[in-house]
Amino acid sequence: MADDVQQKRPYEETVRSAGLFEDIEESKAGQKSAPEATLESLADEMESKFPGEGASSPQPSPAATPEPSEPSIGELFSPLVKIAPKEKVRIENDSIGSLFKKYFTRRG
Amino acid sequence: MAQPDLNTEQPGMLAGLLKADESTGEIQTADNKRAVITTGELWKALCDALSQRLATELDDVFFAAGLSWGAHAYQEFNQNVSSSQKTLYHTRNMGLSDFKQQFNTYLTRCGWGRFDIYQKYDLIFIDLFSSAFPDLMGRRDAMSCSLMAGFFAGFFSELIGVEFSCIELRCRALSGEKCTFLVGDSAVVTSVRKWMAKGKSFDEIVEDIAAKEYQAKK
Repeated sequence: MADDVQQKRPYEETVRSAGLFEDIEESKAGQKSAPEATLESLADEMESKFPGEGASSPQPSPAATPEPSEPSIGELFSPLVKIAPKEKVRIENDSIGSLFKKYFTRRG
Repeated sequence: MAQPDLNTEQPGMLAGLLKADESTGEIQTADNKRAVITTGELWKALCDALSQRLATELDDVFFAAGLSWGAHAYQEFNQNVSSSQKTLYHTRNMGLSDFKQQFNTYLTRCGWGRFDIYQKYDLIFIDLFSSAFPDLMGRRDAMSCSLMAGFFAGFFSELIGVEFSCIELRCRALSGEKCTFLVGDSAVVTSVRKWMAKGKSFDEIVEDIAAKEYQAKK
């Protein structure tokens, strides 16, 4: 019996370290109902597939979000970005919307 | 070379940063990348050999190398930030103080010095304290951080998504306190290079920048 426990522990720790228990633990900690947790995980999954499309509104961690009075590192560069010649700006294909961008500007 | 004590738990001794396998003679970083520890002798030898071949183009070569290094460093930094924060937001939306803290950790743990970044006259200035290059090269006679100028240009171009240039305005090798870099478009960097060639001081150059005396006035 003791051996069983010893054998199970590493597996459980492995799974836990892989983050597979996080959803369950977060749900418990936040007193969320199962449907809420499922909806949130689905929204996260959708957002990871279609970033920036606004399907869900995930709240960034406090560390990632600038304080209201504090600019982000990107905003610090905004004067330079505004005056940058078009050829110096790199196009980012990082959202599903950007894939269709050319169709928005096509006439006819 | 002194053997690093990798098992120490003393503060400031970088415990846990490197793993050593004495049977193979390999050192690896925490994320399993091969590393070596070197003092300035190798850098100085490389620099001497390159300068014999390249003469005045040495700084351009270091800048180009830094540019590529900075772009790769951004990918690594971005990966670390993304995995630790689990958000879908771009790294450029990080709060300034949080970015400074994490980027400083990235630089200082490898010994490249400590940095600060700020905006002035619609341009970006970077201060690098304890820049490693002047010490590694043993140079005290000229600007010597073109590698770091390239690094910052590469890193911030990737981060912001706009091609920037960067130039060192003053160097710890000459002024003693810190190195200061200017990040901007190629027009301002070209102008600054000309002013430096004419022998203008750091303060004079900053005055000219404040007066927007550079090419393609804004």
